[in-house]
Parts: sequence; structure tokens; C-alpha cells
Amino acid sequence: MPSRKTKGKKKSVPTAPVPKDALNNVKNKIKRENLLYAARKAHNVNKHKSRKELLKMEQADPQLKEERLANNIPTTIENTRIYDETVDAPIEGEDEFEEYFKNKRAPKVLITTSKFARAQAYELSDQLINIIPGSEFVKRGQKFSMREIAQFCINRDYTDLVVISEDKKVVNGLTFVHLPAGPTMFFSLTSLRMPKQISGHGRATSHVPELILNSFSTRLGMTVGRLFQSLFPQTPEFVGRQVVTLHNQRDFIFFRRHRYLFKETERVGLQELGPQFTLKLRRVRRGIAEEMEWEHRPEMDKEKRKFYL
Amino acid sequence: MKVLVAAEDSGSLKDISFPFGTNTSVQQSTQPTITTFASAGRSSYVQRMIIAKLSTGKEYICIARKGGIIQLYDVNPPHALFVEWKDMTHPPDDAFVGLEYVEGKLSSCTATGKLIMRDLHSISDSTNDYYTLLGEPINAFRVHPNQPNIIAYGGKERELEISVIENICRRESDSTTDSESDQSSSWYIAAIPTGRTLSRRKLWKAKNVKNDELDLRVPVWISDIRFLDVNRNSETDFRLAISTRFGHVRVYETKYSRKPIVNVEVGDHPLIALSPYINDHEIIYCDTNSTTARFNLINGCKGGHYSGAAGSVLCLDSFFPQQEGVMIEVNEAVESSVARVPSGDVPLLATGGLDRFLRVYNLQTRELVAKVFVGAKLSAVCIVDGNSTVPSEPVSERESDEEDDEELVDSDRVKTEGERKRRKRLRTEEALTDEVDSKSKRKKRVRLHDELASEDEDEDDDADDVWNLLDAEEEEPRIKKEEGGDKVASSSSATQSSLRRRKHGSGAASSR
Repeated sequence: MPSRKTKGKKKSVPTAPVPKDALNNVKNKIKRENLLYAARKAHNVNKHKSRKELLKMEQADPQLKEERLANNIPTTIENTRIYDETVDAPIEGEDEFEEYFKNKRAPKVLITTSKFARAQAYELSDQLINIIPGSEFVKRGQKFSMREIAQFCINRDYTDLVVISEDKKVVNGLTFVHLPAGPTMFFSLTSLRMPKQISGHGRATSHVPELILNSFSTRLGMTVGRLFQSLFPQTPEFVGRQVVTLHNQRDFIFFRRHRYLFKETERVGLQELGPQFTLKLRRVRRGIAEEMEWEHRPEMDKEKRKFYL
Repeated sequence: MKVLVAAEDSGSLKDISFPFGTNTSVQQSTQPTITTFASAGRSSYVQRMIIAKLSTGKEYICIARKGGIIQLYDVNPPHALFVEWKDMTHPPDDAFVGLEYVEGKLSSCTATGKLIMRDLHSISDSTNDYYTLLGEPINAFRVHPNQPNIIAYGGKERELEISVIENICRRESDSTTDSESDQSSSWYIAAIPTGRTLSRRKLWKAKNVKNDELDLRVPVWISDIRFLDVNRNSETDFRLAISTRFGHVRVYETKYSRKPIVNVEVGDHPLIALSPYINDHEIIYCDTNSTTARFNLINGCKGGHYSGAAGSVLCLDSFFPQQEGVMIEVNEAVESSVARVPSGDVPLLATGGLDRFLRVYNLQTRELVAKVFVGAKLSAVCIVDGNSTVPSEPVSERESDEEDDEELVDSDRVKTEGERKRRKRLRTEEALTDEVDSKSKRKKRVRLHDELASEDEDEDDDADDVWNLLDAEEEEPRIKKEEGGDKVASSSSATQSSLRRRKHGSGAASSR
């Protein structure tokens, strides 16, 4: 690279950045390259200089740094979210989860799969039994429809029915039916990782986990959050140090399970227990799969800064 | 305009006032005024709601609540409870499937088939209610809009039936002079010697449609009924439209056939409700999958969707201005004091349902006129006032006379951006082409010239838009301020609505 060599010999660095138009007028390619290199270097030198100066100033006056950090808010998709009047709207009256929240009805959950399920669905059902305390698994036969199964569950005082959908040997969805009066929610399920696949995973205990529900803010989001909440008993066993997290970000709900560990007073250690999966709400129906309350439509994805949960 | 909605989650009623163009999803848009009243909890939510105008000329909200309660509330704030009847259903958890008010007779029908009729012209009389049993199950019930003695009903595995209540008679024109209480209505409930049971006679019963292509019986499940061509005034000749839970819209012509003359499957999803359109050959339906659409009963084609709803629409209410209303046209035999006279200029459709939004459409163009987040699922909706502005307290004549045309234009709140732009352009063009050289005109011209010059400086095509946006930003807070403190609108809008009312000469509406 002859140009670099000549550049190195010169050692003269232009202090001010070279305007772009000036470079365009230079017809010799090598010279032009040299000039560009010099310009870039100057830019870098200036940047480092100004940063050093800023550091000195801020060390002298810490308030300056505070101000700079306060003013420097990057634009993200989340903070440029399209206005939604239902965000943090108060819950008016009662909803179907009143029995759990007001009367403290203990959850009793039945887990089953879609018809003709294969191995992965059973593996996930094993995990779900482990996650949701007081849940039980019943193998799905071919005889009964979901509506009938829901009715059997109501007769046996179950509060929730979870159905794992599987297609072509891959789990692709979860249906939650809150009993006895709905609602029914269907989520598509992606990115499933079993504990085995998570390096350094821990072994879960049978303690009632703590539950973290993150950013379910709209009225619909609150309904979804309340559904997840009503699957778990209201009194977690803190001895177990287990946490189930359902984190909503841009309408994708990330499921994670951890054990926390206090190694020191400042920080906390986390050990992932698994499984991991991602849910996306597809439809909410009233009662046991009756009238549509909300349905995800393809045109909802057109506007990427509009979120529904 | 003013809409009453029933919130299912809290069992309350809400009085929502807003001008056209209101959209709560847009932060800068004008916001509605919502007043909640009559909360009774989810366990006794409002299943049916209508508005009845009594012979006294006062309007009342009639609601049928879960648990067998029927109540009458005053339409105007503070919405005082007027009268209440309890235990109107036989098993307490029985649902109301119909609540109708025709010619002073309030009829309620429950899913188990208990029909109760009472004369609202003599509310004080406690033994005023008469009943008959229609048999189980009933999912849809209607009273003929002009003849209170004709009822139509149907349900799950229950074909459409039309009956006549023989105790309800039309008063002879001569006899009206001597009765004092019921002067306004030409119908009365005849004295019943045997208790309070109404005698019912079956007039007509529908027959199921032919078997399908696999020669299987088509199941029956009627979800809503509407009488069409209501001015026929005959006891044998009716035209009805029904919707079914299997997605069919059917039209019956009782004179010709017991089978439907039109039978179209409009969709795969169960239909919930029907609502009348401005003419009799079209009807509006909604289904469980968030579709609300117009349907042509003559050629069996869809006439377009009223789009926007995210969840299933549960309740519809069509609104016709007095001049164009064909469906609710007042029968000649009825005096005007009994019929409700709605005020407004455009036919409207209000929808509400599981997505917790109230949406108001222009019935003809299907454009969304207003969208309001209510906060609870809507179980019933009723348009009270169809004017484009917020309804106001009645204003005196003197005040409205002082207003001139220019202010009328300014007070029009529902200016869209495009409209505003167009109006501004017109104004500048007018000013520039004006050749009169008076002093005041010159001043105005100079001012306009300055404005134009300042716009030219930018040399940007978007400059105009920016100015308009600035304009809009300046105007919005002004509107909000007007809306804010006071529940009723400012004087400018009030005068406008009063002017409009005067233009149409509907004297009955001036009470609001």
C-alpha cells in the first residue's frame, strides 16, 4: 500500500475535516485516497480530543455529566410507540378473573395436547407441569373436542385448561382456557429451548415460583397478564428462590425461568432453569372459544411502532 | 352527538357526548365527555336498552338488566331513576332477549319465553303488567314497530313465529275523547277478566328451508328479527328479515310463503344482530368475528363493511334523521307525541362490542365518524342525539339571533386538515382577486401579502403544510379548553345546533 507509506512519512495531519466535495474534485485516485485517509484520521483525532476535554470538564463538574446523560435519550421503537389510549387505563368493573383475585380461588390447571401429539409436545407438557404448581397432565384422546374437555374440566372444578398444539412434530402454539367462563387465548409458540439445550442450567425444585410480568400495559395486555397470573398460586415460596418471568417486548412474550442467588450484598447471581420460549398473542375469544374479542391480523404488522399488549 | 352505552364489566350506563371527528386514539383529537351512572355490577349488567318517549313528552332510558330487573332512567342528566320493576324473569338467571317499546306498551321477553307487557301511560298502577308464555327457548323477539299487538319470535330449533296479542286493541277514533289517560296512543290493553294473562293467537309460522346438498336437515337457530315494510298495516301481510347463528340472513314474506324468499349464507360465523338501513331492501348485520356489514336483501349481495372493529360487535343501533327516516316513519294513526323524534342530519350507525370501543359510522358512506374508548365491554348502545356537535343546554332565541354566518363557520369543530387547507386557500384567493380599493380592503390585502411573502421565503413545497400544522396546533388547545371544564359545549356550538334545528323546523327537539 504505497499510499499509506507516503501518508506515514508526511506526518502532517490536517486539523480540520476535509469537505467531501473537495475530495471529489481530486482526479488522481491515489491522491484522493490519501486525502480521504487524512480526513478520516483528523476526524478520529478530533473526536478523541473532544472526548478527553469533555471528560476533564465533567470530572471537574459532575453536574455536567448528569445533564448530558439526562438529555441524551436515544430514540427507540419503544419510546416512539404510537399513542394508545388504553395504556394504563383503569380496569373498570369486574372481569372473568375476579374469582382468583378477589376470592383467592386456588388455581387448578389441566394440561393436555392437541390430538395425535408427538414427542416434543409431551416434553413441553412435562416442563409445564413442573412450572405450574398444582397442574396435572391428561393424555389427549381422539374422542372429545376441546369444548367438551372444557366442560369436563368445569365439572371437576378446574380453573384453567392449557392445550399444547403441535404440528409436524414441532410445538407451535399454546391455548389457555380460563374456566368456567373464559376467556380463551391462543398464542403461537416459537424459539423453544428445553433445559437440556441451555448451558449451565439448573435443576428446578417443586417450590411455588415467584412471577414477574413485564410491561403488559394496554387493556388487552392487562387481560393477558391477569390470565398468566391466575395460573400461579398467590403465595410464592421464597425458599425456592425460583422466578418465572413473562417479559413482553413489542408484543412478543418471552418466557424464562431462573433461580436467584445472593453471593454478595450488591449483586445477585442468576441461574437459568429453562425452558425458554417466545409467545405471541394471536386471538382472544370470549367464553370457551365463542365470540372474538381480539384477533391479530396481518395488517397489524404494517405499522412497526404500534403495539397491542 | 350523544350516545348512551351499557358497560358489561361494571353493569353501568354511560352517557357519551362528542362532536363528529372524535377519535380517542389520536391524542390531539377532541376528547369525549363520558358520564357513568346506574352502576350495578357485572352480575346485573344491562342486556337490552331502548329509549321510550312517554305521553308526557319526556324521554326515558328503558333497560333490562340480568337478574330480571327493568328500570327507567331519565335521558337527560343527572339521569335520575324513574321507576324500577324487579323479578321480571322466572328463573333469576334467565336472560332478556327482547325489550321493545311501541305505542306506549313496553314489552320484555326472556329466553325461557316469558313475555311481559305493560302500559307506560299508567305507570303508577302496580297491577299494570300482563304476561303470556311463549315457550322455551327464545333467542330473538320483536314487536311490530307500528302494531303493538303483533309479535315475532324464534330461537334455537324454534322456527320463526308471528302471533297477535288479542288483548291489545286499537281504539276507535270517537272513543278517544272520553278517555283521559291515554289520549296520545291509539292502542290500549283491553280489560282482562281472567287475571293478568294475555291471550295470544298464532298468525303464522315459518317452515324450515329445504335440505342441503347432502340431503341433511338445516339446523335452526334464530338470533335476531327485524320487521321490514312496517307501514303495510295488515294482520296477514308481513315482511321480516332474520339472522341465524349459522350465518344465514333470511327474508320472509308471510303472504306468499312459509319458507324464506331470500336465504343467503353471508359468512361462516354466527350472526349476532340485525339493524335497519335507511331503505327496506338493505339491512345491517354483525357476526361473532368482528364483521359488521350491509346486506342487500333483494340481490343477496354484501353492500360493504363497516370496518375497524378489533373484536366482535355485540350491539348495533341505526339512527335516521327525521326527514329521511323511512323505517321509523310515524304512522298516521299515531300522534307525534308518542313517537321519538331524533335530531340530526346524517343517518348513523353506532356499534359496540368486546373491543371496548364505541364506533359511530355514517350509515350510507360507511365512513367512521367517531371512535371512543369506553373502558368496558359494551352490551347495548343507543344514539340519543345525532347532531354533529356536542349537545347543549337549550339556548334562548335572542342569543342565537346575534350570531352571524362567519361565526357559524368558525364554530364548526370538525374541520379536517384538508378542509382547513382548502378554506385557507380560498380565503387568500378571494382576497387577491378582489379589486375594490377601499382603505380597509387595502389593509387586509397588505396583511395577506405579508403572510404570503413569509411563506415564499421558505421556498419549500412543504412550507404550506407546516403552516397548517402550526395552525392546527394553535387551534387544538382552544377546543380542548372549551371542552374541558364544562360538561356542555360552549355557546358557539350551542347556537350552531340551535340554528340547525331551526332550519329543519323540528320543534320537538328544542327541549334539549
